[in-house]
Amino acid sequence: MLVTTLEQLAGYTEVEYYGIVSGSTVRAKNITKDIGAILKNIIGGELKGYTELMDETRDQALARMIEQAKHKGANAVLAVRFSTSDVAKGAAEIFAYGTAVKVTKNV
Amino acid sequence: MYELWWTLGLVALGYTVGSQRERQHYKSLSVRENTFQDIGLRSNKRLPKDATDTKMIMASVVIATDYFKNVATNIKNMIGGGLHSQELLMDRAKREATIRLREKAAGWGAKEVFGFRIDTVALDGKGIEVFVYGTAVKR
Repeated sequence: MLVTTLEQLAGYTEVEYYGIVSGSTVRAKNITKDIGAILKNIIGGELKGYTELMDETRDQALARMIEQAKHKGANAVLAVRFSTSDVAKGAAEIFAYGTAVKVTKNV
Repeated sequence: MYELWWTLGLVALGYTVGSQRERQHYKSLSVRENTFQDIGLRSNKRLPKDATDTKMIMASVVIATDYFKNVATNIKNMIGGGLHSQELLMDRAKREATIRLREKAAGWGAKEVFGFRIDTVALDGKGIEVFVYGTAVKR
């Protein structure tokens, strides 16, 4: 699956359009669950474990979007965007969306 | 009384260690920004005509606020006004995430990132997450 945040793909032409595809994950926003994070909340600094966790959640949202695009028969997703929203107290939704299309390689 | 001393102690610890770590971070930011300054960032979403290959890249960082910043924010919240300490935190997080993105672009062999976007999540007032993404372009 070809994925881009831009409107076109280099060396490919769009031949078919399948509409918007999206994927989301909801995760807890509480970052003070372990002793290391509690300490970091006193002295400040990066929470590396949480950075990794965030990356994983984001990857998962993206993977769900790609799954949907595959299901529609697309081979590329253009103009991908992410958005985040608070769905409930202590929970955030990570949402990835884009336009599913079929592209063919230029000859 | 005991609780008050405990709180004041944490504020002092947050202020001394926190601001020292902040200075260190700023130092490391400017060094690494120099290393990757030749990677151009653009928020344009149109692909340049002479592009040969593209790859979507993402980078993020989660930074915790220190105890001093938390207390200062709570006080400022009552009286209103600008929150300089939080501005610094946002600035650090955005720059850090951007450096990581540039690093990924460089690692893939690209000199430019198009369609650059920034997304931020506040983590229950105790930290922030900055997420940046874009498309690395080879010409």
